[in-house]
Amino acid sequence: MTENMIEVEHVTMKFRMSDEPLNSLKEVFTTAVKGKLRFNEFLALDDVSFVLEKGKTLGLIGKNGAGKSTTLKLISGILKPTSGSIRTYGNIVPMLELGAGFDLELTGKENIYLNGAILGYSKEYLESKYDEIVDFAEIRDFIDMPIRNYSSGMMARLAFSIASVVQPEILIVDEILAVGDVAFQEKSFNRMKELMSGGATVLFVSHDLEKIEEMCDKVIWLNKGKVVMFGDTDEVCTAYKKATGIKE
Amino acid sequence: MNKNNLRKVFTISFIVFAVFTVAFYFLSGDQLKYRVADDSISILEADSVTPEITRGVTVSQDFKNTVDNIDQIAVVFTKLYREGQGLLTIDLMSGNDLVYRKILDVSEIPEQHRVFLSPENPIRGFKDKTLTLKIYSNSKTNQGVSVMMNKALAPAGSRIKIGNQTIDGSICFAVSGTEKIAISQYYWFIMGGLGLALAALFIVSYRQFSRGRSNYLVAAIGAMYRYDFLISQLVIRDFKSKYKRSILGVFWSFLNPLLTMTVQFLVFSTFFSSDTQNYPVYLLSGVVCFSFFNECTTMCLSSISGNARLITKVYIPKYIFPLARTISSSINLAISLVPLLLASLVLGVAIRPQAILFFYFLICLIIFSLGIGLFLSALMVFFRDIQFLWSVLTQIWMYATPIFYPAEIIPEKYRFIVRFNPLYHFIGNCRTCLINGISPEPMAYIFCLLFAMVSLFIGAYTFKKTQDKFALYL
Repeated sequence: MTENMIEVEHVTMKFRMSDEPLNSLKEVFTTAVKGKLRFNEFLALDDVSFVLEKGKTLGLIGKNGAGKSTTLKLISGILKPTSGSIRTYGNIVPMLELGAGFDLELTGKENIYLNGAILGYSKEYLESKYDEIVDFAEIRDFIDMPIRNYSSGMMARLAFSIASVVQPEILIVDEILAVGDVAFQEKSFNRMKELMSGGATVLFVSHDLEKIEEMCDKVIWLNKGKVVMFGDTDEVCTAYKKATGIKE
Repeated sequence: MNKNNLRKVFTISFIVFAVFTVAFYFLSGDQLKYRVADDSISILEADSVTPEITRGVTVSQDFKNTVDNIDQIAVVFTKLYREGQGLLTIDLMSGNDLVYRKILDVSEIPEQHRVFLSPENPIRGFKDKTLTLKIYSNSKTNQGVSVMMNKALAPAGSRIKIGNQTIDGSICFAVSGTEKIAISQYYWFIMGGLGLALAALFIVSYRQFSRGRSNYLVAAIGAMYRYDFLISQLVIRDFKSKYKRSILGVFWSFLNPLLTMTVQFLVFSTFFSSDTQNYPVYLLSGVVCFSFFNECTTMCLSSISGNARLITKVYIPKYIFPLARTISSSINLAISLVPLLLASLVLGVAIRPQAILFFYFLICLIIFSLGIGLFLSALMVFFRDIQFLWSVLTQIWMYATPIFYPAEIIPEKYRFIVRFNPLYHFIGNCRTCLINGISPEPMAYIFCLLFAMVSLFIGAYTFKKTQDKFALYL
């Protein structure tokens, strides 16, 4: 018996983009008076539908601007679709951009709590997982230092440790596996696989077709906001390679 | 959140309401029952004078009393270059009964200035009755005073009896007092009704929750429970990053209002201090309240646009950001109340139990600021100009609010502008509680709550309507 964790039905996402960025009252007013206030509609997603069952991993592939990141943002609730509906069942951990909530003035420890709270963890949970996070990120010696003194690798490791400490029901990943040095990349990749085998339903965006083939059960191929193909990994990847001219 | 939490929240809210109702009744005292009457008698300009009042001459005048409680009577005398001697008696009569008597030394009566007669306790029970003011003395001829009088301004039918003669006109006098507030006799009735309505709301919400149906109130409380950890973390961040790398740290919250007050005191004390009771405390209370408003709205303004990276990467209810900023500003406000309290004690303000009503108006001010903050933060996403416009607007607002000057210096014809200024009400009522140690009249409570609620409603509505578009414009 399979239950659906994500249901996306006829989702369309339009962005209204003005020709120039209008960020002030004066600009809006003057262009409106001149009669030039026109918006270009940009269709980021056009009637996209799919369902994902519990425990499955779905890969999203396509060229830049195909709508992959928009789909992830819609599912995590950051954006609201122009039309159509999205239903998700279970807690979502989005790994869209790690460390978005970091405050450079605060120490590593303070940032663990702040970022954990942003990701929706409870205080008790964070306290119980605190050591695990610190050890996984390998920054125990620097934990009471403001993170503005951290190297970018340390910051990325800390961010990944916080985001991946929870066992989510739905995990959303946007190209973040290349974090830190080679050793840490290996470690984080294993952690991801652990999370996936722990029953998480995963949405996964990558340009690395090898990774997609290795990890995903199903794949969606998007092009200019439309679903070109949705099906089993082998089938879609083969078609994608053929279309884009990538040799095996 | 579970049933127990909900029950706890409802019970605590209800107890707070009940305690406030009872405490307010006792703390507000006479202010709940009476307000300053506006239509009392006041004839203070003169166009003529009565003959000299010497032994055997009695000047008396009947007038119709319009106030419930007479607090003060003022009469204007002149000596016309005579050297005054002897004793002057002023009697307030109701028919043949003496209501109040005041005996003055004629030599001490100021020339053409109001002489105030203030009974120890307000004179009660003569509303709409005719009272008589009777003035006589034991002065010898050329040593007595005359009463100033006015023929033109006197109300129709007023007569002055001088000895056996009767002339048209009125002596120059004023009666000021308070009148009963009609609705306050129903105080328990109204508050009881509100209490029942509150209880009914809680019971209905609770039952809907237990049956698993959605309910607005329960959802709001649930959100508070769910995000309390996040809110507390954001508040801690605000504080830590604000004072990081400063030597005095949080002590600045303490020091800032004192320094501002000192500067303004040095600049303005020569102009205004004589008109105002305890000017430094008056100034400091205004500075503390306005700084909070200014800081809170300015911080809320950038709360969404400043957290753009977060809002476009992680899903968090967006109202959390302005709310967290308001909470951290409120904590700042609480810290700056310490110097205010200390200054009040040092500068000789007698803190009475009524001062605790101060918090009611502070809470209204916080809700009001949150409403404006929500509105501004939403607007800021779409129009970045707001941040510059708002800094100008707050300056105008500061000058339009009696912070360093007394409200009385505003000419009467422009006073109405001030009455529409919510900050004037919040700050003014805070001062009444703290400095004068009395409660403002009941309408002040209703007005302030109304201002706060309208602001919160407009802010929340604008925010809710636009929040789905934030991620697109950031």
